Amino acid sequence: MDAPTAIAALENSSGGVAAALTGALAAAVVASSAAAAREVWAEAGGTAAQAAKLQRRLTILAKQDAEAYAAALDARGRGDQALGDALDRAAQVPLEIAEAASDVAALAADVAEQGELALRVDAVVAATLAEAAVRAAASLLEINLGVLAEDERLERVRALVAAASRNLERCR
Amino acid sequence: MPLVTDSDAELVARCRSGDDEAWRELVARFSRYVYAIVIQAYRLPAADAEDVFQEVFARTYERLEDLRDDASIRPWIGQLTRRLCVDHLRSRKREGELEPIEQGAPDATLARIEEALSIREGLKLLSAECQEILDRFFSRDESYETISGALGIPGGTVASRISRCLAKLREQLAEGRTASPAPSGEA
Repeated sequence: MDAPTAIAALENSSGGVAAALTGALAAAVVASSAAAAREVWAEAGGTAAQAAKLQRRLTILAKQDAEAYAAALDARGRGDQALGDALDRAAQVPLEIAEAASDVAALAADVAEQGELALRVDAVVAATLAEAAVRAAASLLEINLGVLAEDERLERVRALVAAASRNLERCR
Repeated sequence: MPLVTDSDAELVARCRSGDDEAWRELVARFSRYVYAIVIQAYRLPAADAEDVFQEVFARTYERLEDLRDDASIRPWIGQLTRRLCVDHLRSRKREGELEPIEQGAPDATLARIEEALSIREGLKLLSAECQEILDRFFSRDESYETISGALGIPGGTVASRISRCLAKLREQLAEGRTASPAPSGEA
């Protein structure tokens, strides 16, 4: 997805799309900076490939979130049970966004630890974006789950936020 | 299923010796490849695709003696399949039954099919651990934490292990490219 397409996708869409595309952007930065380090880092190619994979996954999740959000809106007039089910489904996609974006933050930290200043600068940017994506997705999940406060996904997503924050600190 | 799989050349040698089971294995081994070319690259309708599929293996049976290098059976079958697809499309076009396909489209798709098959072959040569970790991350979309839990390895080492397995896969693919024979003999 190119930048104009990504921005167009945000119109009339959900915050989950923004979270996923922010994560995808972070993954693109990691892929680019890792690819630039091929001469000095044995695992650069593998890191770039993983970042590119996460970028594709987050782009797909953006589309899935938009679909889940539309389904939840559609369910509003069909009773509490239908709405609850739709919101439950809508909570699953943000969890997957948080997982993928948290992995992007981990890759960014790996890049930062290679020591070169130019790599570290890009890695900090990527980890900051990735952490924001995880936090945004976590907020959506908490809101979407609403009354289902005991859902185990809440604990899971909070752990992902903590992991992304730790990886951002590794970059600094 | 045999524990040790014959190489392509060994399988062809068994076919030449009249081993019926070897012929069944040959069809099973290359059927996905032939279908991928027929359906994805040339976009033949299902009935036409089946006709070409049957024709490919009938001709392979008849003309195997023309194959000069047994190890080059895959590119030989690929070339035969492409030629039969083109013949089929020309015949249908004369009859006005099929729309012409976009110029260059089969080549791009064929390149992707060849690449995917090369990667699949390369993966088979990796350790079971590498095959599993790459499959979990790239095919099943599992997170590092999920992979860590499933394989019992520290979470912080998953990305690094994936990178090392990818490096091994790249080595296998590079060796395969160096050793990969061109089609030999008239397909």
